Amino acid sequence: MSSTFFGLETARRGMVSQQGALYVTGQNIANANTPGYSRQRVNLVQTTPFPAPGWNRPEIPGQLGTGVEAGSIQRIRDSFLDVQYRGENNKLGYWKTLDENYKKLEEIMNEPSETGLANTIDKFWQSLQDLAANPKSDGARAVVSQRGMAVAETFSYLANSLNSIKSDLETEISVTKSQIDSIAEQIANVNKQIGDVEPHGYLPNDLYDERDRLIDELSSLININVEYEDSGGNASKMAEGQAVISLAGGPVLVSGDTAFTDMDLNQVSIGKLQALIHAHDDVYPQMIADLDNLAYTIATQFNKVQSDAGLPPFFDVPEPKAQVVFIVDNTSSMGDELENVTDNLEELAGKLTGDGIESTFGLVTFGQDGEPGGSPNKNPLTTDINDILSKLNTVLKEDEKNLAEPGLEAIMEAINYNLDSSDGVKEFVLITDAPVYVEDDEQSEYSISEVIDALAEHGIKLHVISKSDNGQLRPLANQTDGKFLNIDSETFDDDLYNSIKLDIRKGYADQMEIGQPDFESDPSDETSNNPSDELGDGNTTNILNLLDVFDGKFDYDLSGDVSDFRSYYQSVIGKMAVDSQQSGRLSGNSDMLRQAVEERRMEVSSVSLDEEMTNLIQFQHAYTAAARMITVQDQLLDKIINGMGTVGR
Amino acid sequence: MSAHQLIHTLEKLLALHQSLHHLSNQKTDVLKKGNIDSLKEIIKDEQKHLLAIQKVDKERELEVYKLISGHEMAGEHPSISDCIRIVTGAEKEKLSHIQEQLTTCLTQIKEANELNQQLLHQSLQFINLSLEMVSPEPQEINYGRPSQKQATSTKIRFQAFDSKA
Repeated sequence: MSSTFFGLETARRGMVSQQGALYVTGQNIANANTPGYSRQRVNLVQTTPFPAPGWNRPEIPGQLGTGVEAGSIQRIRDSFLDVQYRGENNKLGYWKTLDENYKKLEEIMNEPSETGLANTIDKFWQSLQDLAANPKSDGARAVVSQRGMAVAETFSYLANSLNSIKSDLETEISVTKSQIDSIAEQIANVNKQIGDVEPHGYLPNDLYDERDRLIDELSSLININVEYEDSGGNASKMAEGQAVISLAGGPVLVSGDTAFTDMDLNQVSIGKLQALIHAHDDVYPQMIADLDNLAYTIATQFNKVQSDAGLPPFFDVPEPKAQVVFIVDNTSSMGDELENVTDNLEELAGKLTGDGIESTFGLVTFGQDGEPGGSPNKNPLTTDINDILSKLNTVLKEDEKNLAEPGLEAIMEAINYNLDSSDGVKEFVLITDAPVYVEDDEQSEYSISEVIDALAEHGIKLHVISKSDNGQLRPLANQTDGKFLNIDSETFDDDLYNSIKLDIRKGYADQMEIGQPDFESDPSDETSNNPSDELGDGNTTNILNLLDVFDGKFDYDLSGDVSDFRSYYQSVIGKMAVDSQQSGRLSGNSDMLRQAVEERRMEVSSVSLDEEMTNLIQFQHAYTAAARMITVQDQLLDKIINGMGTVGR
Repeated sequence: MSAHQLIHTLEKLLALHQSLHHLSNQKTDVLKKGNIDSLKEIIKDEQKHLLAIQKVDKERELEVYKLISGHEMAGEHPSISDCIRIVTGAEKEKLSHIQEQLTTCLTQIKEANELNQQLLHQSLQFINLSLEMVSPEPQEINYGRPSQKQATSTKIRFQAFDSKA
């Protein structure tokens, strides 16, 4: 037997549920313009029918339905489109930032234009030609020295601007990193709030929307993977759970309610942050290095012509100097290759002195048993390579193993030489084949990161010559921008030599200056008594040689290929322009793709007022009908209570 | 030797390519909106263009061979640079000019095509996902206990809906 108020209860449930549906529709309409809002929908489900099957059930016909209830309020969102959107947003972040930085680079280089480097050098060249035509004219000489100054100043200005943008990029990188950290913390917060609500069986739709918005923002900065974990408790089946966000490379950024904010910058993958790092580490330094190459080569070649004619130098080029310290593994891990090493080192020293580079050498040896004990053997600095080599030879032949601490201590000892930058570039060469340190060794005085920091602080590059890559040595070299060379290779003296040469000319463009532009003491002065001999041999040969520097072919970037000034500069600018054009194009493409996905997402999740209005009609009429039902029940009950059993009354 | 005919053919080719480029841009807009009917129209148009370009290209080949015959060429097939080397005066200028325009036009078409390809790829991803959700996967093409194999498994493959209602 069903209860008296059975129908009333059913009608009441109908009213309440339709009212709830109306509330949800009202919520959608109110939020029609909220950014990031996904429309919500109520899922109406039937309540359990009466009676439940069992032994003692009442024998009434059928199972009567008992009404409706609002099962859950769910937001309409397609998670696949979210994934697509984040992918496109990610690429857009990368290309857009890279494009902006390339545009800044193009603005600085400002080619082709009246104020660019090519034009300045052209004017210099022209002034030299004018001087060649009138070697005795003082005015022409003054113009040449002025134009020369203009060239030096242009180089210096370009290098300066590029360096300042590079340091701006550093700031931007750290700002972006803290942005990422802050977003990660916000997501962790939202996760926590969601975790508080979900176990009760509710679906916190607004929190989900907020979390999705934050993740979208994060996706433009770095490439992330998002996964969801169950919240546990009595969570509804449709609950999304806690978001676990990890970088594409693996490390976790946000897990549950904790955000890991000590992200390693080396593991960052595509996104705005990586574009900034790429611009800072590759694009700008490459351009600065190219300018250095140009400036240095022109200056040294000019000065060479001047000195060949017995005149003081035109450009002020500092003396090239290098300080090379060898840190050698004294144990038998190296085997017979050490003879190869000494031969190559001798050639290296030969090349350095042959090029006029004043070099000082140092030697630190260490033995390696992993046993602490004696200290690494440090020899005094000397300019004589043979001194070092002879000590090296004796060291190698010593068979007794020095009870010394592992290689890190040796490197720190070498740093204690306290080399001065004014004495030239500082290069350390670590020659070993065994691991130089034990990971997390408590007995070791220094940690690997301390050593790398100390090397960076002193501006020292660490090269490693070794037989095999045992996983420690290559990263050590890479972190300090040094090279990792194979001991079996026959050319490592060439590689070291090139590296030293490139280091010497680093930063030259910034400091370029003209020395005493001394045409006044040009020997042509003595023959100036002969007015008709304007293009005679003695007067203008020097000037013509200077002109040839521009057309001559030199190895500008130590790559082994020769080219003349114009073609080298053209290739530099051309490469920059092509890269810039590509990043501009890809940035436009990514924007369009992201836009397309965004529109598709809006189609699914945004509020359509037409639909909501129609729903209003639907629910409102259902509400009215349910109210009508209550009236009917009321009349039935009225009849039963007040009208039954009054026959004959 | 007059390159007049060649120039004429090349100009026709250039015009066709430019209108093809215009079509590619239209295609991008249509793809963004997801308008299938306009897409079909544009594809038909493109086919017509491609046929026309093929025809004009054959003409161009004939012209080039006529022009080049007797002269040396760099590589296997004669190229426009060879022609530029051979002709003189105003025609030389015109040929170089056309060469530039054609190369720019071709690069633009290539870029527009790349973008269209990516847009299509995106839409297809979405469509494939939606389809996979409503149509069942074919059964494992593998051995199994004979009593459990269903006779219907082989027929499911191409039906859009698995509706037995």
